[in-house]
Amino acid sequence: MNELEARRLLLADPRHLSDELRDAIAREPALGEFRDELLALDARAHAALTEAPLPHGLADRLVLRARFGGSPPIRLAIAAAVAAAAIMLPWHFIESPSDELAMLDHVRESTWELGDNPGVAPSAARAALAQVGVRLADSTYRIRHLGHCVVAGREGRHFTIDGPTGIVSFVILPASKQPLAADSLRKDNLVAVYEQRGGVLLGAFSGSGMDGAALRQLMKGVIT
Amino acid sequence: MMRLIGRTAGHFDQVVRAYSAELFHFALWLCRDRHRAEDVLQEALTRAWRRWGDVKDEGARKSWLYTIVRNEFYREAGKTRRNEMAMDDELLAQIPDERDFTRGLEVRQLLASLPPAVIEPLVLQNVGGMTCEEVAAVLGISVGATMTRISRARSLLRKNARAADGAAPVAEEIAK
Repeated sequence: MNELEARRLLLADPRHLSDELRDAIAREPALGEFRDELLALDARAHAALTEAPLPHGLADRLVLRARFGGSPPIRLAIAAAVAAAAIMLPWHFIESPSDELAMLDHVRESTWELGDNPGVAPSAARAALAQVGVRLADSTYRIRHLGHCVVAGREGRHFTIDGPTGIVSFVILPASKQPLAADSLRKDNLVAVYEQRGGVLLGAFSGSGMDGAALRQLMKGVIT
Repeated sequence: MMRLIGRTAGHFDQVVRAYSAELFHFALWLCRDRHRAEDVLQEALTRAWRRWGDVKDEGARKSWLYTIVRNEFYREAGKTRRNEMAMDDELLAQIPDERDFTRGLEVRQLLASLPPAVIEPLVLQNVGGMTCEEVAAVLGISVGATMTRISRARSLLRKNARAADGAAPVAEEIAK
């Protein structure tokens, strides 16, 4: 293999080298420098091509919609029930104090999620929420964002909707063995209401002027 | 039967989580729009899920996913694959090698300034970490043609990058 041939092969792929090409590079230092230059250029190209941040929760959404998005309701219901049963079981053995406050702080700190608005198909959201043991009602509110969250050391779900007066956030966590410490909280302009249902703790949060009663009513209408 | 479905679903989840980032970046490069890229990727993976069992060789799984994403993009864009692949090597060779206007441009801008059909094989190799054989499988062309296209695309990018960096021009014989 002469040098020109080696350079052509390196231009085609500087990363995956044949034994013959490796030998040629070992014999000729200029080939090694050429390869280094190409690898550096590739690294710059790779950085440019992958610099865009990934949408939050992308993999979860892809999996859920691909597997459940187009399924008949009965299959969806079965899948959701099986997933919920599998996930719910260990939650009964987990304890956590101050869950209500931790949920409120989570919503206050996750301000970027309020801006995330790719839109989520109700079927996908329904399947995701079924995994944590709650049912999404057939409401007319558009779901803006859906993702996993970790609050008080436990994994739950967080979603936002376009509510009647603005964005409303919901957080669903596996309930601890502790009784509900507070059924409503307020920090600055963020109002929160909570409800414990079976094995889950639900929280609804509004910073757009809804009072506790209206928010509780909305929560009952969105999560059944 | 349920165990089989569960195994398949678990494998699908695992593969999607492993490749979703690079597939998104490839889709984003194709679409140039985040929301459209996610839609294309979503539709592609929905199709992939329906035909998950078609792939017998797990080594070909990644190329298969890239192919579906690419096909979905062209289907969604209303373009035929044949039209997109019409960039032949002669046409490729006619693209000017030196461009003064590239001076000072970042690699990202250089990539955007090149026709997509010219650098698509290079993007596949770069984003997907693929060999020339895998890129050829995605594009549905021979390995030789793939190597030629990647060589010329990389050579073009290199020349433009050097010009942008103010470095000396590269030897002409390599790219020819």
